[in-house]
Amino acid sequence: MGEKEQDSDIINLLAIDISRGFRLMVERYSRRLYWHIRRIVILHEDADDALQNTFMNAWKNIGNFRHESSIYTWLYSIATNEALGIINRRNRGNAVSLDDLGTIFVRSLEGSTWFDGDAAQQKLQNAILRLPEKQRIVFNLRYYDDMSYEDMSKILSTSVGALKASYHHAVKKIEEYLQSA
Amino acid sequence: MKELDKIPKENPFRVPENYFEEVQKKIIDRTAESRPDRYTKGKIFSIRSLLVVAASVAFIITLTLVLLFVKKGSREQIAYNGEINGTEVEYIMHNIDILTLEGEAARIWSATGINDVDSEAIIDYLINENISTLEIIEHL
Repeated sequence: MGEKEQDSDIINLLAIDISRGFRLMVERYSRRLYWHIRRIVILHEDADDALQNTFMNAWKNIGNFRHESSIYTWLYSIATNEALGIINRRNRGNAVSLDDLGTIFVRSLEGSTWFDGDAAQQKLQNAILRLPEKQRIVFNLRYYDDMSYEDMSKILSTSVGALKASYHHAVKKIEEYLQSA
Repeated sequence: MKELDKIPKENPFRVPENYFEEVQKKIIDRTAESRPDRYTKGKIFSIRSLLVVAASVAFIITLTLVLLFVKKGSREQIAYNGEINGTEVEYIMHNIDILTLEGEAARIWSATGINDVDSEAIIDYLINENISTLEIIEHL
């Protein structure tokens, strides 16, 4: 079943019984949104906060949801904003450079109880975490979620062309890091 | 072969046991504490409310048209049956009602000296006998 078909049954149920429709939305999207957020914020505790905030924002604003976007892209937009909000709050007041931020992420990953990747996966994550924020999100959405550039464009409010270029640069940097490390 | 292609595309992160079941329950419980903005399927106004408004407007227009035609038809019918002109019908429609009839009847009965019969009872009797108000007026 495609994303649009999945969304339509949630939308129909929301119109009949908003609580049941929302429950279906949470059941269907909580896992994938969690992993999307987790790849941005790294720590499980932060991802947990951002996931709950994502759904509470969706619940509060369900009346403003327009069918110009799908539930899928709408939720991913909220989740991305929540995740970035957590990173910004974490770094507020500290003038952290991009390199330092990458190092902080890598340390968070190394110290995390909830990471069990092997050496190669640790190396890949280190490379991803050194990418600029937006490139990192684009790479993760494309590489792990197999998301289309069209959907990504709606979520990140960026042109498809710019997203393709961003993914291309991200892959190039990751490849360079993996070869040098 | 690129280095990236050599690494299995697996999710290296983990979550506590039963995390997703628990967080889903937590989220649903939290929604019970607040109400969302009113959800309308797709648009600011629901199709149902638009239909209600459209039906109400259509009903009012239809009712107005029916009343206008019925009134006009009544006038023409009276004019045809009683062979009186439209102006007279207009006058009757606007100025003669059952109370006026009773008043007129009382005045005439009084003039005839027949005081033991109530005018209201006479008009009731005539109406019960299917005598139209127009005929009663003509005979007053």
